[in-house]
Amino acid sequence: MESSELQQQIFQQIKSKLPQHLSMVDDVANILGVSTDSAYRRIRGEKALSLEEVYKLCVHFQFSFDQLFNFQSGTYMFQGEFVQDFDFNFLKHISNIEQQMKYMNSFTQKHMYYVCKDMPIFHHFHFREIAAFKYFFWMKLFIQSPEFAHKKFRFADYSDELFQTGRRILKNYNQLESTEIWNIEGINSTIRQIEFYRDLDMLADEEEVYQVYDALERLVNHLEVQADAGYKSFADDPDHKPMGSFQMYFNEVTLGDNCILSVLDGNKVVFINHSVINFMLTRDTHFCDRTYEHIQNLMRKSTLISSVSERERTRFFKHLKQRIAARKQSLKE
Amino acid sequence: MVTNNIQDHLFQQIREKLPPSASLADVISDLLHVSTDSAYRRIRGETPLVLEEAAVLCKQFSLSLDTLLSLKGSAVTFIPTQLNNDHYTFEQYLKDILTSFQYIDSHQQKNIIYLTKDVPLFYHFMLRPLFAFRYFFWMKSILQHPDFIGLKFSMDYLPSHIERTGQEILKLYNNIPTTEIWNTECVNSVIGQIAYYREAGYFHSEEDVETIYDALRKTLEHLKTQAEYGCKFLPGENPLSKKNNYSLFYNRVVLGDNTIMVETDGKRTLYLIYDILNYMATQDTKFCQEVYTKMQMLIKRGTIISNVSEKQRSVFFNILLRKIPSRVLNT
Repeated sequence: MESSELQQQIFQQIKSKLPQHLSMVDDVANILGVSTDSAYRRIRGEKALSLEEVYKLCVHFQFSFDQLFNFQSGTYMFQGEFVQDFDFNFLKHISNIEQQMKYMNSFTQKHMYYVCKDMPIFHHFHFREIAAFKYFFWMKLFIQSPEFAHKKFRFADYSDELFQTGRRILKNYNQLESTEIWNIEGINSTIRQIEFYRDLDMLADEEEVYQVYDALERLVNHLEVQADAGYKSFADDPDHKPMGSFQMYFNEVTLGDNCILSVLDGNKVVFINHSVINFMLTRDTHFCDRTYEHIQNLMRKSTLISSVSERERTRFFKHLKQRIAARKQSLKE
Repeated sequence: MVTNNIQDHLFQQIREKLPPSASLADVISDLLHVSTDSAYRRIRGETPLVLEEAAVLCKQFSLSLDTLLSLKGSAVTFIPTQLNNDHYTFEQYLKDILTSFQYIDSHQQKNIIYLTKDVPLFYHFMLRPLFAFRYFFWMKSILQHPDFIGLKFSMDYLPSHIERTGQEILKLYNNIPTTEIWNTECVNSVIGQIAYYREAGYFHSEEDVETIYDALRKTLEHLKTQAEYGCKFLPGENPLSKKNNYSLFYNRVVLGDNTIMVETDGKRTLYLIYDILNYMATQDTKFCQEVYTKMQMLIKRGTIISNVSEKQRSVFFNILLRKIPSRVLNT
């Protein structure tokens, strides 16, 4: 069988999705259930792939048949964790995020653009108090069991396993280059969520609430440190050892939508936030390019507040800090 | 999905697309340049199709293999809408929204759940000054239309046919039973945009700014009245003559994300608005169910401020109204 152009394209696509140090042939052999030799023959185009084999590769590497055929079906395909089990599983949720972050981090060139509506989840893991509260909040919102319905917030309920997973997410995130477009509303939902459960008397210990606010304040301070430096670092690292670059924009004209676009060795992938907490992704070239243009346009309308523009940066963070200070003050009264 | 019958599946789909009089084998042999015998062998699955042949067939019959195979259990396909200045203009965009609403309205049972982070799009069409500003902003800053480069704002830039289409949309929207889930951030972006244009010098006069703020104020006050009566109506219409078709929830727990769930005779269509104006739609049952469940959870935790809860309603709208700068003229 003669080598087919489409077949070559398939293997090129797979190659572009794999980090450099991984061997494509082992993966292909594994997925198709054939020997390494047979996999090589397919990759070199000496043996034709059957439709079933293409299907298996599409499923595994998450690319689209239609795109391969260059067929304009007029639709976009998204992947993600759509159907949750009856019980929302937080560990599973953040383990998925960890997988994605590790995947991104395995590329040489890796840049993440984030149009934030809320503070990106990665930042929560700087401080255990915030991460613990967010865990409580999501569980409360999505878990239907009566047992959880009456449960009150306590730090002690947040397991080490969850926190360690979170820390690994943060570590991976810190190694990426990031551009984040923030609104002044970026911490609103967190504050709102704390107040909501305070009103419902679901926060067992006022002292712990105070500690959550206190941690939020330290987190905002650390964001400012990173914006000032233009790179990411760990909040608990006294030297603030430089990690991935950090560009921060202040956007006053639209509310973000928690949309993420990552450029990985030249290939783009877009994550779209839906049903409050879930993300789905697409690699559709057309969609990714349009989203990229949209983000660039948004950046042009926004103020760069990392590294430069000290005055605007100070103003932005002052506003966030004032909000938190007001809440802390109200707790003391 | 059983994976060993992709070929079968493909031919099945082609067969359905052919007129009854056509012979599948003849068509295939023609398209793939093979003998009728070879075509039969492919149809019967004795000879596997090679990739190129599958591609030819998909193109010829406009079949999306992704959709046919519902590739991977966790994939959802969306039909996108993407505005651009050449092929898909704002005018066409509005017309398509109107057509969608006509379609929704034609059903017996119809229902919309609108989770929003901005004031719902359609309400911006109610008063001309607000619509004119939004239109100008979208054309200049979002679509970056070449005709708007260097222009300052004028009410006259809103073409009357666009205004008309907008109002027809609003009228139909008002007719469809709706649950809206808002939070107090929903006016932030429009206020931010007005402030931004003002600082950037895109207004001829402070009067224009004042007129737009005033229209925003009136729109919100009207929406408050809608909530009070629990029905949607246009300014000037009598709310008592309208059906009770409107629920408004004040959501305090998360920032919304401009998601619209439409139910027509038991069938769900979900619209995700993903960058200011563009949206994409899906009817994927599982996905719609998932989003529906999440929306219900937000509703459960929201405060209902339509019909009942007069005090909560006032508190909510006062928060919004107070965000509008009063009297910019003398500042």
